[in-house]
Amino acid sequence: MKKHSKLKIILSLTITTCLFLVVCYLAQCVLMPKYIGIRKEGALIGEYYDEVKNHDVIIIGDCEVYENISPITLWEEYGITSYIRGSSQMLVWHSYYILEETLKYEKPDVVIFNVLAMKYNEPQSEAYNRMCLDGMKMSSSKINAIKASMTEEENMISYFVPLLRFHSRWNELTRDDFKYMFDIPKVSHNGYLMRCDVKPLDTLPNMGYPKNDDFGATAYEYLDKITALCKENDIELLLIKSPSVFPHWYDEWDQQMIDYAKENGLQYVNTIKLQETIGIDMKTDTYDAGQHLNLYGAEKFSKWLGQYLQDTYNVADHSDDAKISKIYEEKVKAYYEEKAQQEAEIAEFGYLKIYEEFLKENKDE
Amino acid sequence: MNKSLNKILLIGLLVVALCGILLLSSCGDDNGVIIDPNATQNPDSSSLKFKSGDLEIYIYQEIAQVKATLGEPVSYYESASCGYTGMDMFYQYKGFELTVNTIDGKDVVTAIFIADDTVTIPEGLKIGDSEDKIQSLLGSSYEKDGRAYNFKAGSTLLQILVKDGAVISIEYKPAN
Repeated sequence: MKKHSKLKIILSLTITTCLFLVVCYLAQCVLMPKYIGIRKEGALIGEYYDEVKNHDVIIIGDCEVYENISPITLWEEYGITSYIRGSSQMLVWHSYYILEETLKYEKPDVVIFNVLAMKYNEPQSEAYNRMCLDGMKMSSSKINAIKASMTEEENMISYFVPLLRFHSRWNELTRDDFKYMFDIPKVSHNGYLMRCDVKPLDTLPNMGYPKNDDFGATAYEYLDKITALCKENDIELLLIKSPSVFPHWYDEWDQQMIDYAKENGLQYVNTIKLQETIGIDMKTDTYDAGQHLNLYGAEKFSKWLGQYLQDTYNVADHSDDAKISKIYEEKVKAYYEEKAQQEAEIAEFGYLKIYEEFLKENKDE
Repeated sequence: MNKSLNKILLIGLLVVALCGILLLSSCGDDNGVIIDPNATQNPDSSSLKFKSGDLEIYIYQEIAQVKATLGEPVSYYESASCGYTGMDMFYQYKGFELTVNTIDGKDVVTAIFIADDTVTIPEGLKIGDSEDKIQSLLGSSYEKDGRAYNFKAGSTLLQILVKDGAVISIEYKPAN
């Protein structure tokens, strides 16, 4: 009888524990931000895992890559398969661990890294950390990325159990939080976030001077790791400064990257200086006065980049590959559908409604 | 025996509910992923202020006050941060530039950048002056960080950059 009672207690506790875990899991699915509205950037990292992993080019970095480069253009013009593993304000250590993780899935021929992130030598903001790290699958790369990225106010447990961080969103939940609690629709095109609107560049803020000429030791430490990781895996590493003209990219910084590339046998291209060659016109090719390219600018830049990749690294043209072409057929269709939808909205309203509403919200706060 | 099992299940459910309440109520001062770094800030009453004509300009001052005296800027630039949280607004006047952000619904000055040597700060320093003049005009209560001389008072940081023995940049920013 006694044994029978003990078994019942164990069973009850087990059922209760399982129930508790299921409730927590469901609560977490609802409460986690979905990043399908204005803050699509938060969804970018996680979208990679559903991809067929056969990319010849992997591009890592911040908004200057995921807003400025179109992998669909690289495919259409050159048959180049590519993916952008980017996130908002992706810092050098984020980039290193994202690359390390990516190489567990595939081995590209070329990795492209945007060097703007070298200006940051410390963790900056939990919000940007979250947008990059919460989307990563659990792995040693993610754990190390969290350790390298956390600001003083953060704690690691909240990255393993995000419910501890986002439980207070309960009073902000919308219908979308329930609709997409298990599955979120795609927001990007191989990691590219599309914007078809135009806001011309008129005058830039004063350039000033950087506080120090030299990038920090931590930034260099992780750039060295990226370089070493590519060398170990026989991958070509291309350093670029994307053609965004704000925030400023100082000559002192540019020279450091020129020197670094020379010392490490790498290519470094400051594409700000090549705007005329690339054909970028900051009156028509930017959606925010020079900070990021819009679709038209991104396609121009990508046409130049694809040619550079083939001339410099002999990156393969897979346009005759039936299997790969079939995969990209769907991608191209989705790309032009979104382009048409955005252009129609701009034609009707003069702007993209979702971003205009966001600007109004922030002004009124 | 069934009664015992029911009791245990009921206690278990109550524990789950209690944990849920504790989880939902703890650390309840944020609203999700975006932590706005701009906490409420009051206009700075420190001694570190810039002056344009008779108008004092200082950190966290409402831009409306500046515009009421100086009028519209020579040029204006707006920039969203890499993703989301509001806008950085840049107001360029002759010889200096103001960065403005929206905090608690008000557009306030969050940086004052001296653009060229046509402008002298109240202590008498300007772009191009020799490095020695920094201490003679502003004193020695500064922290040196690389080539930056950082003077702090209240919630204002006055940062002066030098290169090759000369002042190349003067900027007022929030101290934190």
